[in-house]
Amino acid sequence: MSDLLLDVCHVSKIFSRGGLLSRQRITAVDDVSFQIDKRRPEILAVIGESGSGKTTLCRMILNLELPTTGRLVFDGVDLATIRTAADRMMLRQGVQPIFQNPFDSFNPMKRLERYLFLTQRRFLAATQQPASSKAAIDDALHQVGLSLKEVSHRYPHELSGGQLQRVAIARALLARPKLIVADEPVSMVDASLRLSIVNLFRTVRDLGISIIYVTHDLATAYYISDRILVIRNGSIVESGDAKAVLKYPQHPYCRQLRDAVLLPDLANAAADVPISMTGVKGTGEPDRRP
Amino acid sequence: MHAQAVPDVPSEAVPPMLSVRDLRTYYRANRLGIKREVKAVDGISLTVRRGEIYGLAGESGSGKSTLLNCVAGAIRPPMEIVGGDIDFAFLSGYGGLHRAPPAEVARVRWRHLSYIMQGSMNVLNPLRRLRSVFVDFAYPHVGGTRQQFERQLHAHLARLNLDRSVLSAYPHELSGGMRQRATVALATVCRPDLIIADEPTTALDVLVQKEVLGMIRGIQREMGSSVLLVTHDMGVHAHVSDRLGIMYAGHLVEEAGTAEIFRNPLHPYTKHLISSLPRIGDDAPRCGLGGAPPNLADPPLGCRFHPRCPLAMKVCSGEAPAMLETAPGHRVACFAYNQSGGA
Amino acid sequence: MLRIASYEAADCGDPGSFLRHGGALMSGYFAFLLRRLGQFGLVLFIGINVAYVITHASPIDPVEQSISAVTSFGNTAPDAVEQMRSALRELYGLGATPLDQYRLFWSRILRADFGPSLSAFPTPVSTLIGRALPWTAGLLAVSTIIAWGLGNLLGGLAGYYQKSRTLRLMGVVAIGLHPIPYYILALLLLIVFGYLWPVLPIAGGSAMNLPQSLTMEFVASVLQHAILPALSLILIGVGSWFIGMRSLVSNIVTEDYVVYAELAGVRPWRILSSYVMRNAMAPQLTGLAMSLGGIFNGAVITEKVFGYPGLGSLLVDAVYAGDYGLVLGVTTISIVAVSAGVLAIDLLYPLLDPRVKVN
Repeated sequence: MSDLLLDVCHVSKIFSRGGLLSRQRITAVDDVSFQIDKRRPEILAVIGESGSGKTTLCRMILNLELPTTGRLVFDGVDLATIRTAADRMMLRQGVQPIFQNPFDSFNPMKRLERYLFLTQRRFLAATQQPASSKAAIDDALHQVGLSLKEVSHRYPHELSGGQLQRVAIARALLARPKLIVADEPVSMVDASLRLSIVNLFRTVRDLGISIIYVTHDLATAYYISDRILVIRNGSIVESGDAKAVLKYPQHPYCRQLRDAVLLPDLANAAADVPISMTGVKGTGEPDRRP
Repeated sequence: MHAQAVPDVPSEAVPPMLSVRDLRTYYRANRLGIKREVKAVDGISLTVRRGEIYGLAGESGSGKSTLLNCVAGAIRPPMEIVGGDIDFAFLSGYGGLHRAPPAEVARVRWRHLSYIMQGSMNVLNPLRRLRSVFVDFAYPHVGGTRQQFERQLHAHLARLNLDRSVLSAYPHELSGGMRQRATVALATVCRPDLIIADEPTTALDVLVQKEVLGMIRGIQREMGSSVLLVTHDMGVHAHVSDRLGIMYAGHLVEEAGTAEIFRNPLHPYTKHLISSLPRIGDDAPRCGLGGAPPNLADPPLGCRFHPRCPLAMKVCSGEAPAMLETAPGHRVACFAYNQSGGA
Repeated sequence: MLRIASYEAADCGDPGSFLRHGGALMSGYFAFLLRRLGQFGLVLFIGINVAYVITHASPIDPVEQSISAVTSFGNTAPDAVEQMRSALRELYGLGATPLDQYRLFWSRILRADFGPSLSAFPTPVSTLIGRALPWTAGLLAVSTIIAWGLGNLLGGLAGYYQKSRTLRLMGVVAIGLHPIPYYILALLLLIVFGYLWPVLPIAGGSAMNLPQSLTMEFVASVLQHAILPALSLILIGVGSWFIGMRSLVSNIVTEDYVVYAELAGVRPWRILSSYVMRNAMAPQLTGLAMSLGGIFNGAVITEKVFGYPGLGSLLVDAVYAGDYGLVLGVTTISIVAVSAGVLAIDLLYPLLDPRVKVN
């Protein structure tokens, strides 16, 4: 077995739509390759604007979508070879998703505690006694700054978005995954709670779990990630050490992106939003026409 | 581009464009005999001067959208204005659009007061081409012949650097950014005195966001209009707003010129908002704020921020601090500054 | 199939792109048209076959039915009965093998000839249908369209002006009328206007003694006879369109674009027509097309209760008589009409709603 946790190898995804006479092909992901090393857990930020293909990439890593060409290998298993429910279960345990809207990822009619118990039973077979499973859930909740006492008997809508996103992370941890794929996990979370969630990812990485952090927010990406991929129109335009790429971007698109970040600073504030309306016409919107 | 940075000291001679006094807006529900009252806006006073961009910051549930709806006169049950007055330079004496006679409201809308909504898909009628929307919204206020209006429209679009072909498009045929630019054009075509902008760039990508903000600020400076800009994004405020009000749980907790707020934030919540944001090139660790925003159906007594406040004192849980001026133009509601035990 | 394609379209970059987009739409529309026409043909073929199988599986044998009618008048020699039986079988075309019968059936269908009616022998099925169709089509088409128009208008107003007392009362009445079984309402009308206050005729399509020609007198009589059945259909129809439209509209008025137009001070009638009603219209038009297609089934209960000489009565009588030629004829017409209605709406939909893209 290799030392690679995830090997994304020349992966492309082409969607086609249209009728008999007008077939349109849209390349959502275009020849993307990157690896995550098993021995060095890391936070890998995937940066892109809407329509850049970052969500499609996530869905392929989660095996919700198969690539048109290329290979995805997770922990020695080629995702294209997954056929049986058991294989899929193995993968689910290894890779856990966290989605943008925590309220969408929980059934509103079910108590959270029940949710966590079911998740645990699904992933950790019958070897554990109820008592120890309760302890494990409490453990996972403690890791995200909550406790079973706070959460049990609560329904999803009784928690704030920030708390619920923590529960979602705790749930992901219960499966004892090797990789967490988080798609815009904090864009729906309030400003005052956002940072505590982001900080949580660092804690999770220190537990030995790698995280793919998909976002359009360069500032939080700079703040927590170790490595970064910048995607535009489906292909990687720049990658490398997060701090280096964001501080000294080489690709003009990355420079443009970095310059567009509106920092809550006054030093350069007044100067860099153009007061005149010249230059308003489309510079940077993604162009997805075939 | 005549308007300069607005001075922090209000000039007494000119009445403000908008003044809100002690506004209280509750959501009242009566379900199975159980009365619930959510105090979404609870005693807010602020003024927007002529020719300035007044920013309102706060997170979800802070009451900023409710405040905007009150100013815009978009009041539907269970929302209810319980007290307070809203006065405009162009419509005074009624205490708000919700109390003005319909003819007055019709006179004011779009001609004097326009609105830029959050750039979601659904702000423009999906079955109507943009030209028809412009005609519906603006033509009755502009008058003249249709040809004149069309010419005016083309000139306005040209000024905003928009191609006139957008007029023949349906909303879904435009990208999110184009749609929001078209909405900005729509909101400014009548050269209104006051523009309300509700999270105008939240749904947009960063590159487009900057363009749309530049567009709003450019046309605002050119026309000399006032803008009431609501967004939770402190970065946007730093770049666009002239003055800034910070809202927390239905209260205004701090207000000052934008530069002053960023240079010298006083309220612990404001401090947190500014300091917690990560910046590129700054590796200092930051922490989030503990706890969660209060439930407004049952807000904490005293200062509504005190359960999460690092500076909380005994008095904070007993009384609500009043908004007091600490320096010219800088108001804050916190017992840590200048308060002699409540108002 | 149709689907909302707004999301993808929204990603098409610069301001000029939608022009190119329009071009692709047209050629796409042509392909879509061909495919839909193909589907239409397939649906007809399957539907008519199913109708054929079902009518031929009926336990009622038209030959035995005729014979028992004849023999009930008196004793007939068994030989004569047998002779009559084989003669009838020959006549009705039942002597051939099933395969030949089926082939004959299709060759006739394609010529819109359903053969002679077995129960009203030898009148051709098409003549019987031709005689009944104008009555049904006239009554049902008019009352369906009136009910649709009225129900949608009132429902739209009720959804938009939610505070209006009158409209709210109307909603209560509509919801109250809705669960009443149709035949009870029809009988009630009949009792009120036919017996208690006998101002309207209670049966038939026109006065018996009038020749069916375009005289003022005949037209007046037809209209007079149509009032009660039409009223019963409209009352029920308005109620259901009203309820549907009101709930559609009360959802639409909370949409951002309606709120936005209100904030812009767009005139209320313009909001109501172009922002609210217009946007609720597409699904309601689909419903109208389905109902209009459905009228060729006839309104069995209406026609029975009011003794109206339409397709519905004809169909029921044909079923009892085991007249499968006639049953097939009526069924085929209604299959064609319903599918054509659906086809028309499918083809029109992309024109009604620019977001719907053909795929």
